[in-house]
Amino acid sequence: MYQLLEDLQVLYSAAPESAVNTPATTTAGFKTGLFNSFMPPIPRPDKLKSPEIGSGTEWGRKGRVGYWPPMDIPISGWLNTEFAAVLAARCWGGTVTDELVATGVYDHTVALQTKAQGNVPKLTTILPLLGGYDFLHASCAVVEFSIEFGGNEPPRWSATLRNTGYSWKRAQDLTPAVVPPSVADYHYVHPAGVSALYNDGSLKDLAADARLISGRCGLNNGDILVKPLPKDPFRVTGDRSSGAYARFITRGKRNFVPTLKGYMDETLAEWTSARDNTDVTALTYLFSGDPITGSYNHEFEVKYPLSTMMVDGDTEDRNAAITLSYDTDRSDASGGIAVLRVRNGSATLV
Amino acid sequence: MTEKPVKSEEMTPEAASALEREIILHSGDPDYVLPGGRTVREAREAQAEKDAEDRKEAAEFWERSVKANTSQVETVAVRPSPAGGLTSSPAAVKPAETEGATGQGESTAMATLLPDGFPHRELLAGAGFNSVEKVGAAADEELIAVDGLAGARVKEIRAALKKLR
Repeated sequence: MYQLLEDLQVLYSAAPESAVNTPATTTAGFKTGLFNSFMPPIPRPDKLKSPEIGSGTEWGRKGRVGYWPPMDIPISGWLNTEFAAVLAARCWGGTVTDELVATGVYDHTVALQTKAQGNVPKLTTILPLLGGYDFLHASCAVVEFSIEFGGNEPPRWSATLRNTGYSWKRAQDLTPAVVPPSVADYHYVHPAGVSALYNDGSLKDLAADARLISGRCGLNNGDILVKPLPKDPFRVTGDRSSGAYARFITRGKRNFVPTLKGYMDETLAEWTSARDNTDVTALTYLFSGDPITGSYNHEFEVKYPLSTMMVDGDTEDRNAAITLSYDTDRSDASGGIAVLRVRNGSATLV
Repeated sequence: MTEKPVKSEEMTPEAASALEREIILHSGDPDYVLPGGRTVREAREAQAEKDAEDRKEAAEFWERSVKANTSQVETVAVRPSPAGGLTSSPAAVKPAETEGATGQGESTAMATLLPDGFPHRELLAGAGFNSVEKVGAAADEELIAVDGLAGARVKEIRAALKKLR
C-alpha cells in the first residue's frame, strides 16, 4: 500500500528530554508540528566487516552490527511562533524569561546556554508518522537554526537536527499507541513584516530607507559531537548483536555570521564603518507576524549585541547592491553572541 | 479588566549584560550601589548562587542520563582465591560475611557473579542485576519489570537462586 508524503505528521516532544536517550513516548508528551520540508531518513546500523584473511576465499565474512549512527535530520518551514520558536529556543539552550506584556501577550527571551549550564544541548524527540515510516528519533539536538528572508515569500526557518543514533524504535511498538494531538493555530510572518536594524554610532534601518533586500540570521551550535564510548547501551538490552547507540552528545562553540543585503547608495556609509572596524551594537532582525490582540503582534526577534561589519559588493536586478556580513565572534559580557525573543499568546516557551 | 504587565524575576540577557558591565566597571568597589539598589558584592553573590544552581541542574541531568543509559554493567571483578584451591564454579566462591550485612543494595563484600548457565543471565545483567546478591535482594516486581522477563521466568530465576545458596 502506498504512502502519500503529504499525509506525513510530525510530532515533537512538548518539553526537552529530561536525560539523554529518554524520549517522549506518550500522547501527552508530544505536540504536532507544521513545516514545509522534511526529509525523513531511515535509520540503519553500521556494519563491522571482518578484515581478516586466511579463510582461503577472496570474500569477507558476515558483517556484524556495530553502532546505530547519529541521524542528521534537516527540517524547514515558514517562520512561526510555535514549532519554529520551540526549536530556536532549544538551539539557544539557555534560560527562558517569560514576561507578560499585556493581557494574553507574552515575551519569551531566551539566553544562550551558559558555562554553568553545561554543554549538553536541549534535546527533542521527533516522531514522524507515515504508515511504515514511524521511527522515533530520540535526543535530537539542534545543530543550527537559521532564518532567511527576501522577496515575496514569507521568511523561512531551517534547522538541522542530530541525534545520538537512538532512532530504531517504532511508534507501532509503543503501548499505549501515540495519538497525534491536534495541531495548534500557527502564526506566520508576512514578507513585508521584516526589519533589520543596527547601530554603528547611529541607528541604521535599511528597510525604512527602502534599501533592504534580503538577509539571514540564526545560531549555530558548532559541531554536535556524538561519540561512541565503552558501556554504551544496546538496542536490545544485553544483546550485543543488536547494535549499540551513543549516550555522549555535546555542542561546540556557538557561532553565526548574520548577513544583510541592501541596495548600495552613493554615501556607502556601511563601507566607512567596516573600514574603521566600528563596533556595531544591537544588530536586530525583527519579524512581525499575525496579530495577537490590539496593537500586539506575534514577533520573532534575533539580536546580536556586539559585532563588526564587513562589506562586499553585489548586484540585485539592474542595481548595485552590497552584502553586509557581521562578525559576531565577540560577546557582550554575559549576553553571549545572540539573544532570541519570541512574542506570542502562550504563557511559556519550553 | 486588563492585567498589569508583570516582569518575571529572571533578568533578560540584555539587562544582565548591562548589569555585568556596571559590575566590571566598579569591580574595585564592592560596596558600590548598582542601578536597582544592590551593591557589587550582593550582585556577585547572587550570580554565584545562580551559577551554582545551574551547575547542580546540569550535574543532575548528567546523572539521570548515566542511569538511564546503563543497560548492562560488566563487572571486571577480581575473584578471591578460594580456600582449598581452584574450583570450576564461580558460585562456590562466597563473599565474606560482614556484621550487619543485609545483602541489600551495594554491599562492601565481594559480589558473586551470576554463573554461566544461570537462567536469563544476560537479561538480568543488562538491567543491572549481575550478581547473586543483587538478584536475591530484588523484589519480584523489580525483576518482572526487566524487559523480557515475566512471571514464569522470575520463578525459574528464584529456583536457580535457591540451588546456589
